[in-house]
Amino acid sequence: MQAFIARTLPKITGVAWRLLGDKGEAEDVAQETYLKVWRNAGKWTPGAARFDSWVIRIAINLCYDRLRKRREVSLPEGFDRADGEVGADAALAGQDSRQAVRAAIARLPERQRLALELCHFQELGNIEAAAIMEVSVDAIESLLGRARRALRDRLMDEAGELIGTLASGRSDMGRGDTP
Amino acid sequence: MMDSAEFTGLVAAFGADPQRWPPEDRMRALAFVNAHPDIVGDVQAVAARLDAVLELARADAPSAALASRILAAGEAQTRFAPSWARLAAVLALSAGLGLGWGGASLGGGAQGDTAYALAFSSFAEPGYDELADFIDEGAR
Repeated sequence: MQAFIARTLPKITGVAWRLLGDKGEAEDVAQETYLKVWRNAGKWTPGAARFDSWVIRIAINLCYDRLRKRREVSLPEGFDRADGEVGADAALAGQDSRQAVRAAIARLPERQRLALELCHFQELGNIEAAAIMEVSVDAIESLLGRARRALRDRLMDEAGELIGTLASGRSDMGRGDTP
Repeated sequence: MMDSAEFTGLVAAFGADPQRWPPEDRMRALAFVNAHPDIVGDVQAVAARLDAVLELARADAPSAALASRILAAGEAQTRFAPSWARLAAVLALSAGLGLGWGGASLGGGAQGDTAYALAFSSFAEPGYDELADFIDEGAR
């Protein structure tokens, strides 16, 4: 069980953080996910989806529940971003390349963001990602294409500078930092 | 044979690295790369730049303490689960798997999936053999 959690936890927190934009909430979702798995593992149906995929789907549903609740809360006019998110333009102006790319992804529609997280960042295959998102393989390819096209339009003007940051700045942006 | 539009769509969706391309398309795409280096160069270069930029946005690894917290929460949740509930959960999963009482020999990923599903269902630490024994005992 520890091995399973060690293998799947980064995927779950990655997906949850990408959807919710908040590290604390992503960790809460991860904990809720495994507690649900403990209670409901008997409901997993072999052959319909891999057990990993089923677990990730539970996490995504928990994220959607939280996003739905957020939308039900009336927010002040102009307040449309999750805590901690920064607009891509503002972040670029501040020369914070890492934040700029993250913010550009955060501005993508939910499903595009999720497809990108599953396929690009978590490196799942298109068939597994389609099963998790409960869409066709063609739909996954379409979502990825639209996501990458939008990001290319938003970011490629600054790509040289951003890539330079990546090459020279790894030491001060380790993966253990707060997102 | 893949054509230019299909190749461009593939790279636009999955990026420049052939390892990220769907396995079912990879061989045809690589054949196209070899046959049309003049076409693929720019397409892959643009995609590779975006791939590099995206590396800046990779999610951070979860904190080291999170896995321990989750295991502790799981133990706390299941501490008072009665034994009949454990057996019922395993039986339900076994029936769904079509394993029968003694389990069945499953191969590869399916066996791993089954072992983990049973482990969670039985509120036990993993161990396919132990779980199979548990099911066998229930049958007697």
